[in-house]
Amino acid sequence: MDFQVTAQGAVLAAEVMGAGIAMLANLGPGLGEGISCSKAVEAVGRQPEAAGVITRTLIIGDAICETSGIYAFIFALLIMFTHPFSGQINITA
Amino acid sequence: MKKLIPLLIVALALGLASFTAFADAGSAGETKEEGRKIEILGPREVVSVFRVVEDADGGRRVEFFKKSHCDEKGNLIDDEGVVFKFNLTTSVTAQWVMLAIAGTLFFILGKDLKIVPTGKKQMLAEWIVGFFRGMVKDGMGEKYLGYAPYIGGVFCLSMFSSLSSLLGMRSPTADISIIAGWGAMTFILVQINKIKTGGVIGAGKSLLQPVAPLLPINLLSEITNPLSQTFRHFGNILAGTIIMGVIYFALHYFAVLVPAVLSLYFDIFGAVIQAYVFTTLITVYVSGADCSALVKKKSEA
Repeated sequence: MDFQVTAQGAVLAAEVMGAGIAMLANLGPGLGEGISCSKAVEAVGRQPEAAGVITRTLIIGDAICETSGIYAFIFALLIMFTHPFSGQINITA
Repeated sequence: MKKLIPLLIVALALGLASFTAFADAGSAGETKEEGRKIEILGPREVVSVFRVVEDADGGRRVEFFKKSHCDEKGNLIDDEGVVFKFNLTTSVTAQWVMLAIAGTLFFILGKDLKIVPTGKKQMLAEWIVGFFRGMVKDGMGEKYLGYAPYIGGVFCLSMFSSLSSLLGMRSPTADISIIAGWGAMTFILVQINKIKTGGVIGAGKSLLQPVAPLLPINLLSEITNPLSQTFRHFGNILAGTIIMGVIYFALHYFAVLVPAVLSLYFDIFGAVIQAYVFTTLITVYVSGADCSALVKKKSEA
């Protein structure tokens, strides 16, 4: 049961694993936006007539905080679908 | 004759879009039966408006309107030796179609206005204009009200383009080139506002705020602000498109109710929020580039 690990296969495996590890970065926005939403709910409870402004501010703040997760997502997509290192594989012996 | 102008624009845009979108570019776009492919990141038919090709013996020639060929995986392959090309993709022509549709819609909304509004059409038009003028007045202040049409235009274009994925098209905003263009426009507007309010000296001084050693950070943030704007908008819309494509792909023949409910969040909510955040950030950046406080007028002394 011997199989050869070719250089191409190793690079592809590393690509997929790298994309998976990159998506771990989406933990941050999830936590942060949950905390910000809890503060927004507290603020609405304190002053219910400002609910519209608070909701709009919450949504805008969420969209800004989402950016770091989006960077990770784009990075993972770039690795998976454009193979950046496929031209540098040297088959030696 | 003047009433036919919107129709002419729509016809022109649709004709140009069909020239590129339905043009055959090799074997791309055919679904293979032995294994369904998710054709969300699929090829866009590309026509090169002009290409500079270098021959084998070193001479250069210019080719106009050549279709690019796609190999069997859908990647674009060019002919050998292309030095410079200027491509026309379906995303660009789809954006023209969206411009034509939005333009025609607002042209029709803005006709036959009366001082005292009597119809629903004028109420809708006044609500839209009031919304954008309010956004610009809150974000930028009274003296920047001239930017309200531009802000409204970008908002509506972005929203219509992202919502066109509900109709089955691949939305033009799922292509980073389109949104990078809008981000570059933001960069240009910021620089113009800096030079207009402060002169070149004020623009230079604004890079040294608040302390001089922050110059590299300020220079970097000039680049990264439009870049992050671009990435935020593009990433959100692309993520929504991919997730909807995966859902349609998974529920192969049973995609009846679930995709419609899920696309309420992924497609519609994402599109509107991203359009709103993009234009809000344009107002924030452009009004933040006001350098008039850095250039003291001699008459104040």
